[in-house]
Order: sequence, then structure tokens, then C-alpha cells
Amino acid sequence: MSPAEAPSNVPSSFPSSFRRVVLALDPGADYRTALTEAIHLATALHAELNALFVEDESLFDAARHSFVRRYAPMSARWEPFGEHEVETAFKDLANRVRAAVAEAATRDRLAWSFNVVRGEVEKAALAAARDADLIVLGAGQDALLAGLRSPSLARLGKQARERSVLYVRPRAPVARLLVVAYDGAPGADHALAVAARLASPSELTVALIAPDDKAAAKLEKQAKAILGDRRAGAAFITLPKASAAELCGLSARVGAGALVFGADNPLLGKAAARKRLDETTCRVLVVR
Amino acid sequence: MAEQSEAAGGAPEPLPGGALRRVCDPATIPFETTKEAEPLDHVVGQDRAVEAVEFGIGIRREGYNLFALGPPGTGKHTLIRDYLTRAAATEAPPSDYVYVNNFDDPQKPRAIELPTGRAMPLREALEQLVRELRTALPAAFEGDEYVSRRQMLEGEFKRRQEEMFEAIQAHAKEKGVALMRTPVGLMFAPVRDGEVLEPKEFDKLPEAEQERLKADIEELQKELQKSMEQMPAWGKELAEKLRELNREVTKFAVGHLIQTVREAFTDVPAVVDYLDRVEADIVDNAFDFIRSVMAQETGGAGGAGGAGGAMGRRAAESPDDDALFRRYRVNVMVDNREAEGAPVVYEDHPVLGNLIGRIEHTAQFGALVTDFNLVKPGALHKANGGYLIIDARRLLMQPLSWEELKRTLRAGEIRIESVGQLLSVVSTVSLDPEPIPLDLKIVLVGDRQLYMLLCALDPDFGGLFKVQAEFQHVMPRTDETVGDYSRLIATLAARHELRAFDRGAVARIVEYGQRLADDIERLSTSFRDILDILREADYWAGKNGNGTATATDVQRAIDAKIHRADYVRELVHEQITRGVMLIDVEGSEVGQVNALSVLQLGNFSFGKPSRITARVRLGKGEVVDIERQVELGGALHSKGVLILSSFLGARYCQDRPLALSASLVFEQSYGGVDGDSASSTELYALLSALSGLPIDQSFAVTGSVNQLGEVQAIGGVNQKIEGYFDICSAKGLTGRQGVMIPATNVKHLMLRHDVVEACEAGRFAIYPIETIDQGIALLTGTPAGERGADGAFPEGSVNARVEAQLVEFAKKARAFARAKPDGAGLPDGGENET
Repeated sequence: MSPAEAPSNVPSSFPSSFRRVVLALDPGADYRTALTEAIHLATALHAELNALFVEDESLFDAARHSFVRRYAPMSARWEPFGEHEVETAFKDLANRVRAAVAEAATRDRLAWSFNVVRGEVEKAALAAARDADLIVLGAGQDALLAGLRSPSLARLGKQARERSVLYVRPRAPVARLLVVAYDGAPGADHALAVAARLASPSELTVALIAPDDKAAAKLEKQAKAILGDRRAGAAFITLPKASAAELCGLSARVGAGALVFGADNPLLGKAAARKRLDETTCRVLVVR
Repeated sequence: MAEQSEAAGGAPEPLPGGALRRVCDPATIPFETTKEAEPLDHVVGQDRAVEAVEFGIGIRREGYNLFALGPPGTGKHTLIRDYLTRAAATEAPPSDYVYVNNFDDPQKPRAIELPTGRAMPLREALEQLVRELRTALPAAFEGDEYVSRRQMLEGEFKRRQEEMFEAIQAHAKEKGVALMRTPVGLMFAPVRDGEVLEPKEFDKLPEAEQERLKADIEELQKELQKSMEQMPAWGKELAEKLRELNREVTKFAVGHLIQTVREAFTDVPAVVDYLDRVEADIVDNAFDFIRSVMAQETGGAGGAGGAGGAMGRRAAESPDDDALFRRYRVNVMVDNREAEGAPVVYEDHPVLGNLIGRIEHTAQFGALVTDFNLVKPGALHKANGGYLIIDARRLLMQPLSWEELKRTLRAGEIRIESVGQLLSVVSTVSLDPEPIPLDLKIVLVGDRQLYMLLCALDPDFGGLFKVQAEFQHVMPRTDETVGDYSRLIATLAARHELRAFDRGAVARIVEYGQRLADDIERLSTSFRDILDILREADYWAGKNGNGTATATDVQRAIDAKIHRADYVRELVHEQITRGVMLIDVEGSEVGQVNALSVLQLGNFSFGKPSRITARVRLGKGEVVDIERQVELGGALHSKGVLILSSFLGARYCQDRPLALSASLVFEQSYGGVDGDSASSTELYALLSALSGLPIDQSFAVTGSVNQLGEVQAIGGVNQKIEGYFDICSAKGLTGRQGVMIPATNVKHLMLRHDVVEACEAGRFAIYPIETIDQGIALLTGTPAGERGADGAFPEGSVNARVEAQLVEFAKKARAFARAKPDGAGLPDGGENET
């Protein structure tokens, strides 16, 4: 969605909360997918884009051991590996990421910056993005190793809930359709308002977390009030059980590109639910 | 004439007016105006050609192609085309032909023969198929079933990977080691509490622990490597399963679409076979097509990161712009859908490509590329199963066309090759389309000279063009043919939407036809010239406000046509009348005669008088042709002059040497002279010079002469007479002036009205001459004389004077030879009297 197509009647309760979108990438991130997401968000939200490349310091620690080898996928052999190789590899990768950010941001006329920090990836990213309104965390590009260091709700836990975070999965579906987990809580209202800004009504499915029809009707009324003029075209589906599995199943059924939660959603406080959400193929957006 | 001949040298009488022009009586024209005339339903004056054409069309044997030869404008093209069209209408339309992709070898497009009119439906069916593919294929691959089956396969692959990594991760974790990803690959590192152990911390560990960790890491590396080695096999297995899934889905999606086409063409096994190949190719390449459609949807971005609905439905695009789908198109080479008989094609511009077909190329990124869609048909394809008419001269003027046509006829198939391939100058890969069987009849149209040259110089020609259809340039003039000729004129007028011509106009055109034929017993078959006069008369009739064209309009057209072309004639005649060119039309001169020649300027010719003079002296017995000496005289002219020597020797010097040296010259002639039509004139000049008798300059003379002194026919008699008449008219007709023509040319006289009128009024005269004796008698006013019983010519006659002069020359030659101290004769071996 281009800025021109962004809805003009977005609820006034969410006028300009997202001024700064931080894209945090680690050396293994599928930075192109994450960058596309970040550009889309920044454009839709009229925010500036700060790209952050995090050099994982644990890799330096590992490379300093004389007996550590690296497995080179191209040659399928174990080869000597040192601090210098890590340094060089980070530098090359950072340059490529920077060029891609510059090109995309310039094309979409976004204010942008690019920084490199070193540390433990998620922590360094969160620390560097203290002032960010939304953090986009890229995922590993290699499907073989996708599970190794992917941004993880489970790993970041409560810390991540202090700010809005978009978790980009490796090879996530390109569809724009969003499923919003809506339970009527203030965080859910906020999440719904943000989702309305990111997608057109026809691309919006509101999962009403309600035990019965009556409660669902009430939630639907409340959601429509938030959506305002954009309610027409949006789909409303009731989920009696607010489990991560049900939400993931719904997103798969409708072909959703992302699941959207309010930061106060109780599911995010449950380790099992966070683990289940880490396993879903679509992106997860937690809105604070 | 007979009387004059019997008079042995007596002067002939001038021809009566009726012999100077054959008038066509309008009453003989079988209609009042051309509007009432019945259209002509047969060819006029070309019986021989018609018979040959009918034979050529009828005989269906190899090599029986036609060559129609004859002068331009005789209606060859029209007749041939009319006959062929009539014959073709009774024949069945031939098959259609298409070129399709050869999936085994795209460089060799496949030719398919289809029943008449089925090529275009096949093309449309394939285009429809492609349009449907563009939606059906993406739809099939977006379907829930496909997505879930694909996800299952990929999930299985991913699960195996994850299980492998999880197992290794778990194993590593047990040993206090972590598997880590770096920008340049995987590695194992010692960890404590989830964090990588720094080297200084590692060094603090007990040595045994350090060794254990190192050994464990080495073991883990081997384990990972072993596991990683399974990855390609798993990937291959996944790819194979996905490919099979794709094939299955594609087959399901397109099978029924192709079946629809197949059912429409079950009667054409080659098409059914082709459709099987199409289906197999689509199944093999389905994903390429989907990617292509996606690229078009997203403007070439390939869909990555694009907006939702990547497999969107904007599919009803033209397939032309999609290179992948081009391979399923059908290139129609021959489409006889609307044909009502066999084709009759006239190839006006028989360059190689237009004749045999060509392979075109398009430029892509600086390179020239081609495919079967760019194979273009030639005239041979269009005429296959019917008739092809080609102008022979144009064909022969085009490089390679003639040779390729012959090769194609010999081979019996049309094989399209580029010029580069034919000349072996281009070695790049090009197309080699499958040849198409050839079955047609070719009609070459040309002139006789071309036909004779081809017969003489091209050994293949006779075998390939066995039927000679010769068109005559004239036809006999009889009452019956005049009727046909009139109807032909009416038909031409109607066909070309001209106004009606009344019978007087038609009669005048018949006379024009006689004049074009230069023969009162013939009519010209140069219908192009007739049509030109019809059109121009129509113009003048319109200009004069005549609804129906009259004889006056026709005459105006003829006069105007001449006037447009006769500027040079005017100049030449002006030079004579102003005295720049010396031509006397009265008085008498020895050794000087007015000759007549014809100048041809484009399509216009006119007569021009020339002065011929002769001088004689003692010599070696030769007549010197000065034109020849300066290379202005042609071979025929020289032949005529040599005949004069023979005539003189035979008639006057049978028992003595011809001790004569004579010179002949066309005075004030600065161009070439050829033909022997002046040989009688030259002989008259010589006889005058030898006899000393002056020649009446009122006469102009034309005609060739043989060794016996007989005057023979020449060409252009009408123009010659009219040319001299114009000069005399300009200088003033005296009543004595006239032209001596060979008696055998009388039948060719078709003179202008004004000349005829002058002759009838006794102001001008045309004399038919049979012998030199008749002519010299008329020119000198002195009888020529015949040898008497004593062998001598009558005293005072021309011949007696000539003979006396030659005897005198012979005596002098003998005296001259005796006077020489060394006894030598005349220069160059001059004879000695014996």
C-alpha cells in the first residue's frame, strides 16, 4: 500500500504514535524481506526508518578459539575460522544491507538512517532502539537454519512487550492480509487501529476472541467503532478459545501475511503460546 | 506492273489512291456503338497461344510449365490470367499449411497440412488455449489442494531438517557446545549458561575439560557434516516430488483445455500428434509460464515483495508479448478458407523472399533472433495447388530467384532458406523449416528473345518449361476478324469504363490497328496500344463534350499522341527545310539520290530523307562503303553494298575485270546506319554516276536489292513515305515528287489521309518498283535497256552507258598496267586484261 492509499479516516486515538520504525537485522537475517516489511510500515505510518545492523558479538567470541572451524556450505567442508574472517564478513554484509536500505528508502522517499552496533542480537537491538515506536526484527534467510537464531517471542518474552515489534519469519507469505487478535482490551484497540492503517478493509480479518455470540457481537460493535468508515469490507470471525493454535490455524486458513496482537494480550504472557507463535510461518506484529 | 516489267526498264505507273490505304468502312462494324456490342467471349487473334495455354493447363505432368512469349502489349498477362482463373475455378481449393514449433528441435519448425480452411481455426484454437492457460495454470497452483500438498511436502522436508538440527543441537548442548550461524557458515563453539565461552574463560578450564570440549566439537563437526551430506539428497527428493506434483496439477488443469482442441481436429492426425506434444511441453514447463505471468502482473518484478494476490487474475492479455507462450502459436502459411477454387497468383516482385518465402528476425538486445512464427510464406506457398504467373524478365533480374525456383520445381517441395544460407556466407544458427510439398503450375511471361536465350543457355529450362505459348503481334484482317476486333474494342471500352464509341470511331481504330501492323492484310494485336488510343479518345471526347466518342476523337487522339512524341522529327525536318541538311526535292543530279530511313525514338518512329551520293573512278573493282570505313555502318548495310559489286560485275563485266572504284556515302549522316533498305538507292546512285545520266531529285527511293537486280521489301515503308511527303509539302509540292517503293511493300501501305489525298490529286505519287531497271528508268527518264540478241544493250540506254563506262575503265586499267615498267597492275592486284 502506498502512502497515498493510506486510509484518511484512521481512528484519532492513533494519530501519530509511530514516528520511528527501527529495522534490526542480524548477520543471518533475510534482510530483503525484513526491509520490504519495514519500508511498507514506515510508508504507511508516515514514519522515518532507522536500520540497525547488529554484529553478534558471540560470533567474535567463538571465532577467537583456535580450534573452532566453520562449515562452508559451498564446499561442504570444515575450514579454519578466525576473528578477522568474522570482521570482514560483517563489514561486507553491512555494506550490502546499507545499500539496499538506501535504495529502498530513496525510492519511497523515506527519511532513513543506518547504524551498526555490536552485542547480543536481540538485546543490542532492543537497547539501540529504545526510542523506537516499532521494531522490525528480521529472520534468518537460510531455511535450513531458520530455527537457530530467529527473532523469538519466547526468547525476548516480556522485554519485547515494552514496545511494538514485528517479527518477520523466514520466507513469510507475501500476502498483505492481516488477522487481528481482538479481545476488546485497550492494547487490542490499539492493534486494530494500527492494522487498519496498514491494510485496506478487504485485507483485514478481525478474530473476535469471545466465549459466546453475545460477547462476540459486543466485541464486533466495539471493533467497528474503532474501524469507523473502514469497517465495510473487513471480515469478523469469532474464536471462542483464545489459543495461539487457533489463531495460527485461522491465519493459515485465510492466507494471512501477519498476525496482530495488542501488547497486553494474555497469550503473549504464556510461554507455550509464545513458542507456538514462533513456529507460525506468518509474521507476528505486537503493538504496544 | 506486269506491263511495266515487260517494257524492260520502262517506268511504272504511280499507285492509285485506293492502294495507299485500306479504309475500314464503318458499315462493316457490327454495331452502332460499343454499348450495343456483345462482349467478346473468346480470345482474338491468338489461336496458337490459346491452344498452347489450354494444353499447358490440361496436362498434369512434371515439367509441363508454360512460357508465354510474345511482344509486349499483346495481352499475354490478361489472356493467361483469364484462362487460369477460369480453369482454377473448376478445381478444388488446395490444403492449408501451417508451421508449428518443433518441440524436439526448435530450429526445425514442423509443417502441418490441414484440410482446406482449417488453418485459421487451429490458430484461433491455440490462441484461445494460451489465453486460458494464463488463467488456468496460476489458478491451479493457487488452489487449496495444491497449496496444502505442497506445504506438506515442504513441511516434511523442513521437519527432517529441523529434526536433524535439533538432534545435533541437543547433542551439542549435552556436551556444553552450541551450533551457531555466521555470515560465512556454521560453527560449533563452547558455551556456558547459554553464552559463548570466551577464550580466556576457556583457558581457565581444566585441561582435561578443554580437551574433551575440543574432542566433542570435532565429533559434532563430523556428525553435522554427515547430516549435511544428506541434505542434497533430501533437496533432490523434495524437488522431484514437487516436480511430480506440478506435473500432476498442470495436467489436470490443462488436460481438458487441450482435449477440447484435440476433439475439433481428430480428423487430422498430425494436429492431434502436435497437441500431444503441446500438452507434454506445458506439463514440463508449467512453472516457467506461471513465473512469466507473475512477471507481467508485477511489471517484471517477479512478484517478490509485491502486493497481495500475486497469482492475480489479470490474465486475458495478448499472448504475443510473452515469449514463453509463442511456442504454442500456429503460423498460418496458407489459408484457403475463403478460396473458391485453386489459387491463381501473380507475383509482381519475384525477389527470393517473395517467391520462396523468408525467415524474418527481430532485434533483441542487439542480437537478431527468430523462431517459427517469423517464417513468412512466398508466392509459391500461396499458389501451391494452383497457378503462379511470373514475369520472366523480372524473375531473371532478381539474384538467386531463378535458380531457387528451378531447384524448388525439381525437388517438388518448398524449402525456405535465407540468402545467407544459400550463399553459405552466414554460419549463425537459423531456422530450417520442414519443406512443404509443391504441386503447382508456373507460367512465365516474357518475350521471344528471352525464351530463345533460356533455351540456348540454360540446360534446365527445357525440362521445366515444356510448353511454349507464343503470342502473335499481328492477326489476319478479314471481315470476320474485323468483327471480332470491333467487339474486342467494345469489350475493352466497357471493361475500362470508357464512354461508348460509335462505329466510325471503331472503324478508325481498326485502321489504326492496321497501321500498327504496318500491313493492310493484318491487324495489330498490341492491345495495349489500342487501349491507350481508346482511353485518349475517351479523354478528347469528354473534352469536346461528346457523350459518344467519334472518329474525330479517335483521330484527335492519334494526332495528339504523335504530336507529343514528334519534337525530334520536327527538328530534323526543319533542318532540311531550312537547308541545313541538303535534300533536293526538284532538279537533277548525277550520282545523287534521295534515300529514306526510319528513326526510332522510343515508341515513335518517323521517316527521314537522306542524300546518298556515289563517285566512280578507275580502280580495283570495289565499291567502298564510307559508312563502313568509319564504323558508322552496320553489317546489314555492308552486306547491301557488297551485293552492289556483285550486281555490277555480273551484269556488266562478265568477260572483263570490274576496273572500278566507287565510293558511296550517306551525306550528313553522323549516326549509325544499318539495314539494307538503301541498297537499291545506292545502286541507282552508282548507275547514275557510271552512266552520267542525272537523277530526278523529285524522287525518294527505298528498297533493298539482290544480285539479280530485283527490288525487295523493306520495313517502315509508311513512315518513310510520310517523312518525304512532309519535306516535299514543306518545300512545296510540284506534282512531280514521289517515292519509289518495292512493289512487294504495296500491301503494307497504310498512309496518312493527307498523303493519300495528295496522291489522288496528282500532287504526289507512290511508285511500286520491281526491278532496278524500272527504278533507274523512272529516276533518269531514260530506258534501262535489255541486252539484245547480239548481247548488247540498246544504244543510249542506261545499261549501255554503264557498260561502256566500265569497258572504258577496263581498257584504262590495262593500259595503266602496261605502262608500268615492272608490269605491275593496279594497286592491290588490279586485273590485267587478257
